[in-house]
Amino acid sequence: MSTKNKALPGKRAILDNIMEYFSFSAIIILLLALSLTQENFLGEINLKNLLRDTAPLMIMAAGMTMVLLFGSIDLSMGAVCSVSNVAFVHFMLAYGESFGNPLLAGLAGLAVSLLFGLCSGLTLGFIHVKLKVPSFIASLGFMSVWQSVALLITQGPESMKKALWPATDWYKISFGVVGLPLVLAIVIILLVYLLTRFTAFGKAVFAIGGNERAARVAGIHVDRTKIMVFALNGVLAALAGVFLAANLRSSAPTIGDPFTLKIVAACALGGTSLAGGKGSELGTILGVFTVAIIENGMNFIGVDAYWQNVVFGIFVLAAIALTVDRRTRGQIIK
Amino acid sequence: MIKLNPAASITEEFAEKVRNENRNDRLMKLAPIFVLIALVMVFTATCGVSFISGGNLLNILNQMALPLVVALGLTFVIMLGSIDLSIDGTVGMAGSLFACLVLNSEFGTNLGLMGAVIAVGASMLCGLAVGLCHVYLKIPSFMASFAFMYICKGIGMVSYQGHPPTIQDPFIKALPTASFLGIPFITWVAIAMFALCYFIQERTAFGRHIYAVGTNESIPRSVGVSVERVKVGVFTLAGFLFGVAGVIGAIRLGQGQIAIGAGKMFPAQAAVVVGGTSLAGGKGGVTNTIVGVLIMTVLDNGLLVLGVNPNIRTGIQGVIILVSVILTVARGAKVISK
Repeated sequence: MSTKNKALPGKRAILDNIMEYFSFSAIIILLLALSLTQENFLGEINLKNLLRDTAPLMIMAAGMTMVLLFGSIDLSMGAVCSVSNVAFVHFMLAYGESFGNPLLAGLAGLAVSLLFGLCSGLTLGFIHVKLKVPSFIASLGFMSVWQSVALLITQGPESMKKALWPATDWYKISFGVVGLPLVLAIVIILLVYLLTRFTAFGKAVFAIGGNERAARVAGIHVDRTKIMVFALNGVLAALAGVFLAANLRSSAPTIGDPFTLKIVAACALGGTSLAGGKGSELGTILGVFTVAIIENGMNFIGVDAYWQNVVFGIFVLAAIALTVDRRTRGQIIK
Repeated sequence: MIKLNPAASITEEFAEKVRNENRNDRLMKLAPIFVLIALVMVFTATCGVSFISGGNLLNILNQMALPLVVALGLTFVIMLGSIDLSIDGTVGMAGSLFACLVLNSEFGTNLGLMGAVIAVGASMLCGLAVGLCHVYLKIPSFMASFAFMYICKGIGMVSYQGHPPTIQDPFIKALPTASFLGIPFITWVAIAMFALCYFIQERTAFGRHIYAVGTNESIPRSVGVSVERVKVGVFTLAGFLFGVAGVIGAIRLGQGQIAIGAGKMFPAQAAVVVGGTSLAGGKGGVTNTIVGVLIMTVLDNGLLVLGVNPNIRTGIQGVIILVSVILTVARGAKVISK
């Protein structure tokens, strides 16, 4: 990064540096401001809440970062998460007791959800890559399909039977203020980080994002790589749905809808460019915490839920405007 | 499919190719109309003759008023090769603001029809902002408008603070049932908007520039057309039409709430694409859109008459978008879709 900056005009270099530390400084400033003005913001209870609620967002952002890295986008993640959430609880209600052991039932439910995520990701990837449908429109179509599937499975929230609660007890385990879900989420995102940084697969993802044609000429299996990333992305979205189900011990068919914007916000704040080829999972971790602190902070000060949409929308625009690549002249953006 | 005569010269070969392409183009143009006729026939066969009775046709005409206005705005954006996902938010926001500004049950304002002007103005401003973000900050249009969907939803909900105002202005309350020549007032508004859009598309330089920018941005730029201004103008025009749709929605519902905009984007998107306006830009137009809207409305109405679950109907819209995009998308080996 630093060698690149030297060659660029001063203004550009400053902007790049701002973006690199944007999330980090935003977190510090937000934490300082909130803890100074709000007495209990850094109290144990709120901190615990904040950290626990971060887990599903972190998992989904891990997947989305990979998709953004090669320049595509998946707007269906929220809806996939809803379907998986609903399917998990529905499965537990219908077949949970026939397993005898709640943990076994939980694992089976998890398998069903993840399988769904895998299939949805594969289908989306296939339609995008093989049929050349732009990813945002393909995923938008799937968003509508999965939203209605979630509502078809159940119209309203369903709760898990008390006998099966032990299957979700792991979600409440915590080490001090850090809960097990967050630990799992961070492990997952670090694994994805290792995958993108140190494997041939990850290098291929970056290469495709940088210049797809060159990547193809260099013999990279562009199509296969893309489909695999979409499949992984689907699995991660489904996993987040199970996390949400475990947290509430119940399901809601629209639970994933608000996540779509937050995921994009987290990735963009973390410095991942929408154009592809630039970004990192580590940045996304910071981005996720920024989003979580903004959201939690707004709830804490009592900002209207209505205003939160406005604030997030503006944050996304600002973050993307800062990460957009303006270097190439005459580039046509549609 | 292209049969070439081996003895023909290069010129003849080229002419043959162009003729073939033109024929395919004409076929593609007629395809939506065939789909529409087929749909009507299928539903008449399954639902009985009542499907094409005067009552149901008038019903369909009423149902298509709001989707048509939304889809008209979206058509211009898609003709550029861009997209606007802010519809759910802008339509809901305009409806909410309108209801807050006229005589209503929650607030003491009574601006009458000025309320409609302000609501549409606010929606135009949002369209302008999307355009500016897209063009000058170089944010892809789908992302800029996606963020604005949330921003506008937020503004709409803040405007009535959780208590949706009921419209009490007697003149506005009478509008949904008012009709002229047997066609309801709201449908007339949609027809007027269509006429306006058709005029802009066919008779103004701005309208012709939209096609040029959509086909190949660098050519109009090199002959001195301000591509930036055309794009911002299109997004503003779209904002205007979404605003009008929102006001219509509020008048029809008799209440202002953000839900007026809910689920408006998908049918509009599907209608524009099904009508034959290509997502790649430069092709199609408002006349295509009216056929597309008719297809979507007939389909929705038919499924409703058949008693299909509304959730399945939303899913079907998603599938329709996917299928029609798959059928029309450019599929050369060198195309990179992101």
